[in-house]
Amino acid sequence: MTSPTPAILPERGLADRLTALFWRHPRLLLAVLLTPPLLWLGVVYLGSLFALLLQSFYSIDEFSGVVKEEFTLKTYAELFRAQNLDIIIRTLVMSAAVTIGCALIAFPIAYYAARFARGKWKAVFYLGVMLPLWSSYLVKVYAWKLILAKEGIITWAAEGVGLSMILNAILAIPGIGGNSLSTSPLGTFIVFVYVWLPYMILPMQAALERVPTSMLEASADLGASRAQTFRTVILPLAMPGVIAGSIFTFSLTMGDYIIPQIVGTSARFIGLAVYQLQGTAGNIPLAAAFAVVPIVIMLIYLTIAKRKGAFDAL
Amino acid sequence: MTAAVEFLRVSRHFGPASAPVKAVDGVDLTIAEGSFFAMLGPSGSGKTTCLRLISGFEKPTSGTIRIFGQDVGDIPPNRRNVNTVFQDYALFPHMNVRDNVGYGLMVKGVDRRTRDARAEEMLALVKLEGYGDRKPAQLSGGQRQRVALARALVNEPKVLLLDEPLGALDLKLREAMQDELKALQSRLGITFVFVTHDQGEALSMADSLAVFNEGRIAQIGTPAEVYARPRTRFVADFVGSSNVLPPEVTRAFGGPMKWASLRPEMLRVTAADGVALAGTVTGIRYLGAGSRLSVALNGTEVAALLPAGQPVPEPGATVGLAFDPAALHVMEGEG
Repeated sequence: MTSPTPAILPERGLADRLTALFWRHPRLLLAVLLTPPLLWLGVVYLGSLFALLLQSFYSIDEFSGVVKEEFTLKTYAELFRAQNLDIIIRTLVMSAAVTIGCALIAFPIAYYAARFARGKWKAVFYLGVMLPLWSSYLVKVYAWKLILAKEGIITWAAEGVGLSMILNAILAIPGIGGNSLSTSPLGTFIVFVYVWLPYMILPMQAALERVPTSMLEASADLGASRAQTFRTVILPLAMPGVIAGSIFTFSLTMGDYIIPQIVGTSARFIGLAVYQLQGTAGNIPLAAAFAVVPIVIMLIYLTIAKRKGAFDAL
Repeated sequence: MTAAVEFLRVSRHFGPASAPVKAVDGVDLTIAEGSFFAMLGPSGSGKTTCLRLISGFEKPTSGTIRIFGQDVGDIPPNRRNVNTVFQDYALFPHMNVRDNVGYGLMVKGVDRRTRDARAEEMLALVKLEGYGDRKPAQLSGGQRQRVALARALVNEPKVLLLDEPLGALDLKLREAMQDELKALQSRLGITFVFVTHDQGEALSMADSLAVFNEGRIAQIGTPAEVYARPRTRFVADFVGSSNVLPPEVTRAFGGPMKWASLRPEMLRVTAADGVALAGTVTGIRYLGAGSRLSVALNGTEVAALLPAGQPVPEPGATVGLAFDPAALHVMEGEG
């Protein structure tokens, strides 16, 4: 019996010819797809990173203000001057606090979304998490400045319900308090947490989503309390997500130079220092050295995380 | 003999009270201590929900569940001395095999040295000595299954629940594990409750079994009882794919005017002439150890098992069917 359709179908032009080409050379497609991003990452990103690194090993002539293109560690030594060290420590403490704050707030939200939200509620979750990202960053920060201001809604509400005492007590705490929330380190912290929260929730939720319910049931089945299950099963399995989120919140806080200018004490952070050094001061080498600090801190952080087994569940 | 597990009019409904999905609907059940009990049924018949009611991952909508005489209505899973081998094994991917097996002891606060020793004992029990340092991802399906078993047994549970534990294994391994599970059960003397949709597995392993259909138990009994005397049409068909004969056909076969079950292996295929029952062969399925013939007989399709070595008729041929009248089992139950 002869079949009316042929065993081999005719080629239908360019699309079929390309399909055949990629089928014969499977790596070719990969190369085509990867070349543009690799060029971008390799040349533009790594190249500028290298240029930055190079700059940080130059120094500035104190009298003429001209960059001396000779290899030296003098600029790095400058980082350890009291005022600069102060900036680094302040930034580091704030980034750590923001990361912990984000993690604490994000976890219940991410856990709910991963474990209980279904259908419509899942859509509401994604919308709720993403919605703040729709408006401009600056608008949000200025909105917060008004919310946190002495004449703002928080002070007003606290007075209304008679909690001014507590608010004033918090503002009186040295180190985090200040004249009003909008001019205190606490205010800076609140705005940072708000602005970076989505970047913590989403990776956490993705990690929690991958933990099957049966694993939590197995833990309970074997006699674990809820707290034990959280500590020994949920947290270790969610850890890669927590670390991914913390990379965002940590590095975004370390590099930000806008929020500390608008909300807070105007004390300088690394981002602001870099901005001022490369702009008004024209001290590119020190700006570069400052910019290297977050990279080094992130590398140390990730190394510790890896040592502690944070990526074992990957 | 004490009852390990008792269900008294237990129901578990899902969804709104106005239109509930009755996953388990008024089940009465007694599982004897030390027995190997199978819950058999198609998917969605309520057998897994029953298992989860015992472990505590589901709460009954109504009714009472007792484990060794104690009402467990208010007892969370972690306080029930009942352990489960999960269908997907649910091994903790971030822990090695030893820590997985020792988990139940770890959460009880047993010191590391003792629990490592116990874990090693349990691994020996399931023939996985020396696998303690591996991660679950480095094991084969059969090995993971054994780890799940060792982990569930480490707490010396009063009842071990197995949720389709052999479902993911290939045939050869499944048969080997069936024998091993059976041997393990008689050695440990622990009550095993085994959920399966595979009737062959249930028949070969269980001391007694419950056949589930649409949230209810269609029949409880020993495998031999259930196979020989199915109570309902559903049981007859689900357990061993019997010929389920409508009342008129039963009468034509020499029985009363009632639904009846006649096992295919009880039918003998003979020459067409001079017999009361003759029909046309409509299909032949080769099974290796024999062939299964479909014979159209007075408008009813009847299956007959033809042992290997006998001549196989052509499709369309007319054949006679004969059987021992005692093999015709009249069913009392409906549905």
